[in-house]
Amino acid sequence: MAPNTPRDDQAAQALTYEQELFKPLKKNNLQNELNTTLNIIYRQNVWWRLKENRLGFSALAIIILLSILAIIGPYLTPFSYSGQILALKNKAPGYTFYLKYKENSNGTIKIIEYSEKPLKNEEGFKVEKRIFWFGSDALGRDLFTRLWHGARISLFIGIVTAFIVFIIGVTYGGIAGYFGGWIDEIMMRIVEILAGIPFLLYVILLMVLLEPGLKAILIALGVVYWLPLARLVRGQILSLKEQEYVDAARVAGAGSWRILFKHLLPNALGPIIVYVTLAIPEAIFTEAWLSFVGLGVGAPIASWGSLVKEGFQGIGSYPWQLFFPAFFITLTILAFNILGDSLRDAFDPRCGLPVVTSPRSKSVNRLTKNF
Amino acid sequence: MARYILRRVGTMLLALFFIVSATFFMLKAIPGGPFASEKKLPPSIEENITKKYHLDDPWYIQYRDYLIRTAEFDLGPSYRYEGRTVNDIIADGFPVSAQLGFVTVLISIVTGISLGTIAALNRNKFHDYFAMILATLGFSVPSFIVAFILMYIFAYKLRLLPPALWGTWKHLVLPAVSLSFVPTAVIARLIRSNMVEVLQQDYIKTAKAKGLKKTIVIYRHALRNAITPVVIYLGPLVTGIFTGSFVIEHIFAIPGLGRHFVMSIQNRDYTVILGITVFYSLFLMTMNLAVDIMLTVIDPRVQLVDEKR
Amino acid sequence: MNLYFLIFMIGIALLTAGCSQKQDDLKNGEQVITYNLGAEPETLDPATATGKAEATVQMAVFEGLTRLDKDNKPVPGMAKDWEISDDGTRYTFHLRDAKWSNGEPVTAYDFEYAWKRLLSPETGAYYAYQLWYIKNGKEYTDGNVSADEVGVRAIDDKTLEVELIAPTPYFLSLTAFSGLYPVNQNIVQSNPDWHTGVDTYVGNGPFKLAEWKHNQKLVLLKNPNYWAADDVKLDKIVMTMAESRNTELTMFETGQIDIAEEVPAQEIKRLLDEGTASIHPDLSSYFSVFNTDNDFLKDKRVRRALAMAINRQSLIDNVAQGFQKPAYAFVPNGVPGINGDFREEGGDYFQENVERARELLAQAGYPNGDGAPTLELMYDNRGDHQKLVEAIQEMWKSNLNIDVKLKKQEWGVYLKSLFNGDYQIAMAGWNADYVDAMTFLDMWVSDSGNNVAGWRNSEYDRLIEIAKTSFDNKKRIAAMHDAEKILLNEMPFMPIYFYTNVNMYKPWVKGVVVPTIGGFQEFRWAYVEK
Repeated sequence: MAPNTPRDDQAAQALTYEQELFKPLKKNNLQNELNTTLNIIYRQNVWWRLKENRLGFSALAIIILLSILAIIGPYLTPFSYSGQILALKNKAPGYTFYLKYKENSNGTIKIIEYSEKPLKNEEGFKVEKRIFWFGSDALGRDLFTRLWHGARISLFIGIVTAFIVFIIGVTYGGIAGYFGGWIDEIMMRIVEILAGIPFLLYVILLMVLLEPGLKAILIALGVVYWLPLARLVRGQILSLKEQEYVDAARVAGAGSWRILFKHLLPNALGPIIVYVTLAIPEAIFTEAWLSFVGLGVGAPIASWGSLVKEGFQGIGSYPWQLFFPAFFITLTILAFNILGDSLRDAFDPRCGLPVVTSPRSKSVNRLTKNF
Repeated sequence: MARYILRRVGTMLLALFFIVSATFFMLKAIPGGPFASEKKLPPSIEENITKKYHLDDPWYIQYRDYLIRTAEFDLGPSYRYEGRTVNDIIADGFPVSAQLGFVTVLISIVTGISLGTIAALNRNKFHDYFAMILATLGFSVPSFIVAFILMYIFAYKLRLLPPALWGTWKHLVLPAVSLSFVPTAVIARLIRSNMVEVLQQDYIKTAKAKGLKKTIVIYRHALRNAITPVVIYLGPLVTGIFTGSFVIEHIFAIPGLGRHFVMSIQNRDYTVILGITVFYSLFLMTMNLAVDIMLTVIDPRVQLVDEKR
Repeated sequence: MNLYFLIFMIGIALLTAGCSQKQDDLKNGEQVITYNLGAEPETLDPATATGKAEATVQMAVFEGLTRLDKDNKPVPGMAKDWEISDDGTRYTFHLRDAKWSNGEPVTAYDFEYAWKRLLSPETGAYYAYQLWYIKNGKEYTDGNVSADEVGVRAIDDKTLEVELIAPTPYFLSLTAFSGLYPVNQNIVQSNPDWHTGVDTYVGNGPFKLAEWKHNQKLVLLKNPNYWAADDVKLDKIVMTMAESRNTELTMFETGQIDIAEEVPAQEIKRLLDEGTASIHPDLSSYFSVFNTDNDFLKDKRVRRALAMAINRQSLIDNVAQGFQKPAYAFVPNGVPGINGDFREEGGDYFQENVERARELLAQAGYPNGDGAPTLELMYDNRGDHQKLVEAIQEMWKSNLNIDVKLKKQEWGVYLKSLFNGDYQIAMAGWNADYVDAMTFLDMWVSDSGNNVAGWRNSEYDRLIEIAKTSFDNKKRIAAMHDAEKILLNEMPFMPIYFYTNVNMYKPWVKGVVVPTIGGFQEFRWAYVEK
């Protein structure tokens, strides 16, 4: 890739108009309207192109479906994600049994009896036929329920991390790019130094320091993932701010922050959205990795990562305990990746060139999951 | 050019200093020590051990000593592996990881370029979708799952390859293939998008119009021009793989450097953590520089200029 | 481009072709066992080594004054016989004519040197306290006396005299422990890094180190200079260093190794059914320790209620699955009592009883768990605790209506919290250092660094002191029984089970002994029968 267009300071100088020649208007209605219309057309175009892309659209559909299942999945079964029936551990998918229980006054239930054959009902008790659709885990918990509970955690980790990354990356990169000069110099040196750090080592160190858990994962991932985004945003802003409409806005009396947040960032939004979309599977992935190393979320919370790890422990005897979480985690990451790609294509009609992230920053990020 | 390189090296050294310091203080902040165990030692024994490893010195002395030694390329003795220095550990582990990495890179480049080219030439057709789903899939399956599936099929079921350990080329196959999934996917995607771009260029049309064979057009003209981003990607790829992959080395019991990555943190083997951080950072930054220089050779359009000016 | 792909596929095919797994190690009737050590030894120096992998290698390469046989009884090793003074504090060992693997004779001076080296403050040996039974041993480690005053002395080349502070009935079996192995004084003094090189790593045991590729492989060959070399049948032991248990199991099942340990809990049932796994008792205890400084847990009745409200057999059958023994006391089976087994003499000190547990809880002021705080159960990320704590959490919730929050901590952080008393309930384990009840009981005395419960009991301290100094074995053991009774009545911790080791051996592997301490593989008597 060619380096960024060198910024010509002299040209910029020339563009600082003699202010007295231009009287700022109170409000530039026309400009605003035009912007809005253009934006709508642009957005519609993106949506249309995404819909045209069958692969991307099915990825989106899968993500929506998975999200819905994450929300309603745990309610589709009568089981709770943490309720154990030790005697019914490691049952194969589709295992059917009858459960006789009593409802306590405080809403908890007391299990009286279970059997593979139908049970007789008695006064004061309830008998239900139950099925472990995806089998049960090592503690006799319903894997189906746990899986969708895990989906919540994993998607939550993915989305919140992406959000944190978005906030930090956009602010940092935006400020560096817009203000330029020594601010940019210092901020980008810091990024450069941070980029030299073996990132995974830091995630592990942070996890140890912060005690394994949901909060630690979010912080650890958020802290390291914003670097490429900050670079990306800075690059975008750097080129966008030379555009004429920025000058127009400035002439129209907009302040620095207003220009940055109202004019520059919205126009750089495409690549940012793509990056953030791709950060979601990355976070889910890294969480799974951390679980594998023993630093994932703690019990009784289950993420897909921790379910995979649990599945590993009995792979030879109870393969479905690995299969289901492994399958869904892969499907989710796959869907997000395809969606990210499709969004990239949709935002960039030239279709293809990796404008979104420079391949380097992206691949540095990517590679880490090998560890 | 020389000035540019000099400046980059300067930044590298500065970055290295910051990284060493940050890691050092982070390690100091983390609870636990290299000699902690579930059995609490009598105080005098604990004292003797900390004294032996100079862990009783004040932090600024330890910090100063570490900086001086690092500047002399002496990464110090391991706290856990008695009689072995961090330099020894890197010298033992790195060649293994590098060997594995070399094979991985080779596999990734060959398959990645193949997949990417197939996809680009059949854009938006079945081949394209298939190749890209395959590539994205490779990108999406966690490496430990891939490793285990491969081990299960080829070692456990088919008994074609040894499941673990190191020594012969047979031991290389499974870990290298597992490791190559992600880079293959990245390369395939890069090649595809660049090929698509390149194939629309005028010179390709010219070449076709000249009546050149399709294969020659693809190999001589399209592929060569589409390959630049792969070169850029090679930098981090090579570092990542050469310095080892913890999970893969752990699963396949490979005596590489990656194994120490997580183990040393769990063990609080401070010098090893620091040493590996230094080594890795240096390697990463050197590779990036090397790639940038290489680019000017491959692509004359690229000139080395500071990003800032 | 298809060409590329084709080449690649052909390459893979060629690579995989014709590589059937052959066990070529066993040609010419050579006796070879391949064993997965599971980790790179941190050091092979007997003075500073601590772990299991290290001890396994050392046990093959060295021999102490005694060696434990398959019944865990000390039998003559380097010492051909010994005398013990009537008061049990003075041991005189007579060494046999034995040689180091480099041909030099093993002398009593080597022992004296090695033991003082273990104790020396400069060595910084973790296990120095294993020799604090010797007169002035502790004082020397503390730096208060010189080496000359330590109660171990070589009278001549073949006679070693040891002076103990108090009669220590288990001292003989201690001499079989790796920290007390002799080292070759000439070698060690001339080269401080002697234990890192194959050439300088000189031992006196049945095997000698032939190759050590770090993180990869360690090869031991039969030591022709061993005093009973004729009796050692194995020619070669190859040790691999795969850390992942899943990998180890696959390696075993595909024939890459002959012995596998630490079978994943979930696979044990299948492997037992297949007949490849075997269960070996281990001298160690698994328990939850209560922080008695906690307002809720300082009430003995609460602690007892918690202990009585879990179903240990169910935990073992369903979660741990290794045929562990449910524990209703602290000292596991397998240590000597007055006449028989200490545990069987002592019996169980409490029963599981949910009704009784609820009563106790009600008496403490929490009927049906009302008013009880949410407890925090801490465990580390290294062991296999997760499912167990989840099951215990569920049991306490459903039996006592007490809510428990699980708190996972990284190993180093966990240790810090544990020793700082910064926890409420923690999962912990304790393994024996020697075959005697004392190795378990003295961790709970008031000034023990390992007494993390914050529990103090002067009567308990007094009984342990009696047991430590008593010259009468009966009185000693009776005191320990009384002490254990107090301990289990007070319950600063809740016993869960006594550990086992689940190992797998290929059918042709014979004669490997698994000591109850440490669960090593002892290869001295091992052989291969095909």
